[in-house]
Amino acid sequence: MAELDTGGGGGKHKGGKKPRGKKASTRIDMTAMVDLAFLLLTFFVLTTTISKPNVLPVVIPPKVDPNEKEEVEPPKVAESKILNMILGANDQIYAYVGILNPGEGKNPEVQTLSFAPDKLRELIRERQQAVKQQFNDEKELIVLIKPLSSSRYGNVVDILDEMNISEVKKYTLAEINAFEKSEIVKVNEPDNIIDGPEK
Amino acid sequence: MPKNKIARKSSKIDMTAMVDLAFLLLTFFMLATNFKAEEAAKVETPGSVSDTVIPEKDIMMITVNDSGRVFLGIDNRDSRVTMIKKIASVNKWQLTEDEVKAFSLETNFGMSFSELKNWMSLPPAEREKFIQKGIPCDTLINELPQWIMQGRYAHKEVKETDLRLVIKADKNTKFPAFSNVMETFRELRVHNFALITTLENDPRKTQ
Repeated sequence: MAELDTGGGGGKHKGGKKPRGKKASTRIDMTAMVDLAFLLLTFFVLTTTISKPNVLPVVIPPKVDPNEKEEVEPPKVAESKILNMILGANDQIYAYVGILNPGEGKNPEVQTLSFAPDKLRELIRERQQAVKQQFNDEKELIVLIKPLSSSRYGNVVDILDEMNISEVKKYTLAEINAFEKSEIVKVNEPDNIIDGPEK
Repeated sequence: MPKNKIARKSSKIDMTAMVDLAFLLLTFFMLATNFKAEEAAKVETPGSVSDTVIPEKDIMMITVNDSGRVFLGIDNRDSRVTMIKKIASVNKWQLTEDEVKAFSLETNFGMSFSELKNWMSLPPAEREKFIQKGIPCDTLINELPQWIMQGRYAHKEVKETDLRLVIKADKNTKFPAFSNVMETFRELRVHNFALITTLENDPRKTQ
């Protein structure tokens, strides 16, 4: 298949007929061209990035300067609107409702969840319903996401993603407070208490 | 008796259709291609349902790999040149043209100031072998703010647009490594940024 075929044309005079122009074959050897085409094709296939990565936009609250006295007091929020999610080691979530303040001796019910979406989604849904009943608007639910230093970055993205899926409008990444540290982290992750993320 | 001859078939094939296809694909890939940037670190990004596509240009990408090493890259080469010149003048380095060029060819790097200075003075063959340990970014030594600041200034000068900050971290990165980068952003009053993720199925749509 590798030669130029020139045989086709019947160029020899036969009998007394008029001499015809030599007919060149229309077949060309394409092997080399194909080789080159495939080489280039392979090159482009391998070097190309067809799909562009997707991004998850994030907005974080500005840092509060401790030297700057805040003129406006932070708004007061009903405790029942707040859902805390503490992200721990081994893809565990410790979730509870409300605010834990030192000295109040409250003992909130802490649920331990995994990242299995149905359980997590169910909890958020449940809270949304509860908030809706009380305040007539499920968008009032506030989720505080508190990753421990034993958690993975993937967990954080998962939970941010979950907020988008469940359409929670108010959520933020927060730091764990001293009380949560002593009440929840100590119980569930005693190894983690030494290098706890509290700053 | 005459031997039975096996009928010989022509070894010629008609390649026209194949060639057509090959060239069609070739054309497609040539037009659609967007060369993969060489990456200093391998990163497996977590999944999310966000279908926002990363902007085409004006990106500063901070990569955090699974062991918490931090790498930085700007997509525009002119901005990289201006950035390293600015960093050099801040730190009072004397850089040769060759050194600046060597730096500008790296789309991603992760070295401390002192390592970088050494790296630039190495011959090209040894530069590739250099193991990049990441830009120091913790509460003790944090060189990231300077890079981000100068990178943004440089890009503003060159392209007259703002750089958008993007974090690409491995899903197994420990949270503190990511948190350090995020806190650096907060210090610099960068409150809007994006995390690179891989697209996952949205359960809202499949139900």
